[in-house]
Amino acid sequence: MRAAVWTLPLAKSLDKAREAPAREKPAGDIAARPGAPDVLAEWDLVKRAQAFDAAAIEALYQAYYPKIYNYGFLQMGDVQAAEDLASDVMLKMIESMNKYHFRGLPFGAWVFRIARNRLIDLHRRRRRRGEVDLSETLSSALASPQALAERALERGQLQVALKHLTDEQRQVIVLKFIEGFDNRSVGKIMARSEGAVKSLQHRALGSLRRLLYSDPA
Amino acid sequence: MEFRSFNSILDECIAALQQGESLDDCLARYPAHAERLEPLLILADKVRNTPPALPRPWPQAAAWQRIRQRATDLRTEPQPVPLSFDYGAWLRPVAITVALLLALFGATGGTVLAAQNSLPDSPLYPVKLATEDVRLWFVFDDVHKAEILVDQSNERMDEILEMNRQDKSVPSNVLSALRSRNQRAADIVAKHPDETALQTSLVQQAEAQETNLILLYPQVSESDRAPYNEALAATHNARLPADQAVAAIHPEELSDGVQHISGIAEKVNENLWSVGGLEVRVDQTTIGQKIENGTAVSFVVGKNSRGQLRALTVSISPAGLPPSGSVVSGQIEQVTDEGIVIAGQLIPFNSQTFVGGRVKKGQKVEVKLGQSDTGVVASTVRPVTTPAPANDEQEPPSQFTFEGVIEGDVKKPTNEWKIGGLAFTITPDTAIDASAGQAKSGARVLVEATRADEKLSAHKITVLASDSPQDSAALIGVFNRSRGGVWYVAGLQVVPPERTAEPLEGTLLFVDLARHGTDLEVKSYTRIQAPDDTNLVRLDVTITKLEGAIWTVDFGTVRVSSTADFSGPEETVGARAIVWGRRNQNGVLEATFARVLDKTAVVPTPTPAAPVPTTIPAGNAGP
Repeated sequence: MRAAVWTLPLAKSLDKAREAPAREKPAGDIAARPGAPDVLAEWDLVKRAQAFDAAAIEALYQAYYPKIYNYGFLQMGDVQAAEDLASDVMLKMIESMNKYHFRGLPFGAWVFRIARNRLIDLHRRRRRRGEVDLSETLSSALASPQALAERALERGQLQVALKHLTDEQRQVIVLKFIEGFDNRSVGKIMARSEGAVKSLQHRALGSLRRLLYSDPA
Repeated sequence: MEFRSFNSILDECIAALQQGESLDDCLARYPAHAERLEPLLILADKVRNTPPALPRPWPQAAAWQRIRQRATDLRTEPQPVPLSFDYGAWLRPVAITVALLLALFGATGGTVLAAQNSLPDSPLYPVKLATEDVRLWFVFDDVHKAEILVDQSNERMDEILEMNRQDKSVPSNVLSALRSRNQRAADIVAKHPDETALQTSLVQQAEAQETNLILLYPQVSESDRAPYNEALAATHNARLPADQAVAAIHPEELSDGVQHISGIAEKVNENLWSVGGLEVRVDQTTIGQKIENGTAVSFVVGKNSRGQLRALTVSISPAGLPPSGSVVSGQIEQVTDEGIVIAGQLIPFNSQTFVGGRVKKGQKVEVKLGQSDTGVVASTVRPVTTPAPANDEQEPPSQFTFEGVIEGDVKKPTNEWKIGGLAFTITPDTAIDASAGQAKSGARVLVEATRADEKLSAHKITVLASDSPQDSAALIGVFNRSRGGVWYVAGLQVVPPERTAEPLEGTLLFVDLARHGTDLEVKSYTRIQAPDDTNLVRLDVTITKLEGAIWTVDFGTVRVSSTADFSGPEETVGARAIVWGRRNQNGVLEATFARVLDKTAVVPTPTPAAPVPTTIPAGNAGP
């Protein structure tokens, strides 16, 4: 670990962040903001899907398949593996739909809980078989996170940096900042308290900052 | 008592920025934290704006065909009768009941809210625990209940660590609450073997908690030992596979302490191993790697009231590294987000670093070094405090280092070891490093100890790879005074030859001693540190490389020139050494005193550790 030295791109980004208007959320994003109105609207959709309403099932599939794919891709760095994960999770979602009960938490938290469990099982199976971690190949193929930080934050750069975080730190970054869940939902998905999520969030951002902006010299 | 952690402030600002508040407004609300907050908030915003990875359309379409087919099959299959309640409807009357309760408590509603931020020493803390219990009454789903219990147990650990950060003792109420929550969660998990994620979460959390509890052990007061032992046992047991619950660790197994023992493992029988001559029981309740005869291992053991040792955890020491780690002691020159600076060197923190109390610039600390993927990091940081004297008649309590030969049988369960003619009390957390040989009669050992009220308490005993006559001993301690021809060093009486020049009071000395009956006679002494000199740093390290006067040790490099005072066997790679030094004008750590402890290498092929990176303190740059 090296002493942190701020690089020019970040100094510039400080000014940009001050000038930038608040980010607008994409319209029609069912689970991106698990706030109260969307959660209730989605609960109606889920109830219809539980009654095997084809349109409702398709709406949930179209909303969640890309999110789970992105979640899987950021964690494993492999297109095929991320597609398999998204497909598996969607199947499990449909088969277990009737087990979901609305308890004030978004449906998305329940779906991501399935995804996280699948991911844990997948990693365990791979370890047992002695398979190579897919993200290792990706990391070595790409430049170091510091070198990539010279540019604006890009997905590849974020992915390489995420690889260096602990599993829990990576989960918090992806679930909170990429998938847009609130602390309660993140805690629910990870089976951790909100306090633990806040603490992990701080540590994760600190580690990410060191990885992206520490002086490579 | 209310506290506001940086974690909460950061979280609040992240949420505020998401709601459209400007960065400057948020920073203005917390000027004291603005410098730390700003880069993290900007990074959070950048991550949020990272474009997502988009799936390829045709695999998504192909998957949809499979899902649609499955949905069609499910629609036509007879559906099982749901066993669970409709919680939405079921919880409605419960919610009404809770609302009624809150109405009944009217005036105390604010109290309940205020209690949520309380720490275990607050009068409101019992309200916090009671509120959590009430919450569990209304959860009827076992798995959900276990999730909440895991969360609550995590909160308890956070509270314990916060108390420790605030230099407060850990009261029994929070330890009891931690135990009960872990036990209940583990019981539920045992009944639901299919809930793998929950089980993983409980086990991972319990592992981190057990590590923290073991590190906290020296700070637990005598009166809180019982709830501490119960909490530690419950936390350890939560990590065991459910089918071994019957053979769980009982708190009695820890009643006489929790110790670190490292050395070469030798099998005695199926469940009994000898480490450095001490017998340790290893069974299915021991968590860690499988050990074999001749392996260098580190145990954390519980000691019961009969003095028997039972391994809680075992880890195999990495080849090429000393098992018990290296230690740096000195004054903090700088505290940064990354770590602390001692003698111009940054010792980085990572997420596992345990900080035993408040650390600030100018404070004297003892840092145990560890290894991580990124190189050397601080494993534990503990403030070094000088206790006040008991009364005017007695010498002030003091810490010292003593070298001598073990006398008598220490294999027998005993709480007192005789070393170099002195009786040392083995405390409940005395660490024993027997990696260089067996802790037995005749072995030369190094003892880190404290003297208070005429009692010598050993904190760590290290077996040395050096032979020496039975009557030879050595002492490193502060010179107190001279009276009637006797010197008091760290409160211990030593007899100097006649007409020996006295050091100044408060001088740190290395004293080479010879035993004559019950007397310890001074053969020679060396001044290590003058009374007013506070800049020296002490390194307890292993030599990994030698290039002339430059020694490479775990902490980086140190120059041991011919002007430095030197004692002990000739330096050799793989031997351990105690070095005092300071950073010179050229930024080089210059030894003023070095003592090599081992005649032969303890670590046969030491791995030169990635040195701690150097920082150049402001105003001291340049060669």
